[in-house]
Amino acid sequence: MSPSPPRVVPAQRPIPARAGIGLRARHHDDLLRERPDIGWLEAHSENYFADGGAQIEYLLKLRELYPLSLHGVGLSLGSTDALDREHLWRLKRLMHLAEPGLVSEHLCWGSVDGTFANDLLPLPYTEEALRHMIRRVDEIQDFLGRQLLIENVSSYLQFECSDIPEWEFLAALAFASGCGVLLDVNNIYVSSRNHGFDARKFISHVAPVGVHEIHLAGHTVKPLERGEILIDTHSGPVCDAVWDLYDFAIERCGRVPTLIEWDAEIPALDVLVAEAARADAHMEHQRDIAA
Amino acid sequence: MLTWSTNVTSLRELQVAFLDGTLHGYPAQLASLIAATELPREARIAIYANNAREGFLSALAATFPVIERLAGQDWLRQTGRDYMRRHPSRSGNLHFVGERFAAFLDDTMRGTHYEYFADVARLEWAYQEVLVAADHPSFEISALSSVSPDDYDSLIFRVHPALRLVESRYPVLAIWKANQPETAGMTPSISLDAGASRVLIIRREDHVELRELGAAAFALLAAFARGATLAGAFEQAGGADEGADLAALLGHIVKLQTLVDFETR
Repeated sequence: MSPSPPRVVPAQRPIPARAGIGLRARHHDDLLRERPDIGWLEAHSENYFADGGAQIEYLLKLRELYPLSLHGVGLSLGSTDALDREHLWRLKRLMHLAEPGLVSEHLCWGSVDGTFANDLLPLPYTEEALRHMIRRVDEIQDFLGRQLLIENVSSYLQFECSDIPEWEFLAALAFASGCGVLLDVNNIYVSSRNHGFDARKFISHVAPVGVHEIHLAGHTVKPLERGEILIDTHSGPVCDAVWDLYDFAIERCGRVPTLIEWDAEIPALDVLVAEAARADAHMEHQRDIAA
Repeated sequence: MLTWSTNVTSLRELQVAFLDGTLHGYPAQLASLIAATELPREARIAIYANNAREGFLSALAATFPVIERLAGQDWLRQTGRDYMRRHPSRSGNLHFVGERFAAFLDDTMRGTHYEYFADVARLEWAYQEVLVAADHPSFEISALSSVSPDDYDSLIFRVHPALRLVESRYPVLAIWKANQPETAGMTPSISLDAGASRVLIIRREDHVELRELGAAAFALLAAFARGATLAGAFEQAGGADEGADLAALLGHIVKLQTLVDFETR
């Protein structure tokens, strides 16, 4: 690449109520060359926490073709450690560069005493944790100067001390902090199967507080000695049960920007584009029914 | 209507216990924290332990592909687990997982046939760092014409932000080059006694270049990277090679576009 001329920064582009795909490095060149008809792209923020280099260059080129959203996986929002100011600064700087239409993080924690699991660990759903999360989301929204979307995670265990249903916790957080909800329908399905709750009840409860984005992904069923557990692997297509749940979600929430996440065993770009087209078709169908 | 109950464990206590039990493999201490179900608690905790370990090990393998090729996947996984116990991730960004791996290998491989692994790891970490370092236009040597010759000694050059220097008593650059995906298996074996290596790693736009430098050029650039004045850096370079033509060396490293700015002290 030769030195770039001063860049004319396009205005922040809102994320349309269409399907988009998760941006992965191996698709950078394909996306620039093929420019498939998808609504938008979502980048994992941390993958672009660079001061310079090829990754950032790709992101800037792609943002001229597609609206972008930034999705964080490493802020450890629910940790009782102090917020990582450097991480937040990097996110803010990336937001300045990428001008994302949406910015999101997770209802989870991932670190304590400075040690990170680099995973999306479930919180205990208690009043203490809720107050903590409200303070943290407030602090981050103030720092970033914009609304954050908070996504529900898949979980494989529940804490004994949890005494608030997860959907009530998420809705209360959104109500009190003014954050939006990123509804991960696959995560709801995975957790509902793992913990035996009604996935539709989760969606119905959260829908009225403001769902600004939906995630869809594939999961893996892991057989155990007794029973089985569902794991959120993002390594395959969306299953039929999750498509059904998605129909239920868009019936309750209306047409919402919907992301196809496929982060492991990443397929060719056209497979992702086809999966996104399927989500678009579900939204079209929903609109026809509503009309 | 939400109902609240008093928690016996604070959020902080729960997080400390959970991470310790999960990362260090003591699921039993977590039993009272986790709701009982038909599935054993250990199986549930194991998923988180597995996620943390696999995330860490995949990031390590992605950062050190040459080490993985030299030592094998099994060795890197086993060593990676020891490394993770001593140096767990300290960042929400998995990019930094490999930051202390070279120092860890210094400690654990010293005196063995494989002690050169530490320097190979140092080279690979430098490569990762320059991939994401800032860009900077290089500077034109003609700009120096504005400096009075009286001030030459006190000139301080700033090196390119996407530049790293790695020195080893082993031929690490040859080892690195022989273990790239496109060259693996095609290069004759390299003798560890083939001599020292002084490597310049620099990113130009989106391309990372690795280049062997002579002892004096390496010393000069390393001195600039430490913030030395031109006089101090020339002294270092002269010390590394008494016969070096210092003015020609300076021209050489300017031509390599390693310097981006200068000031006079």
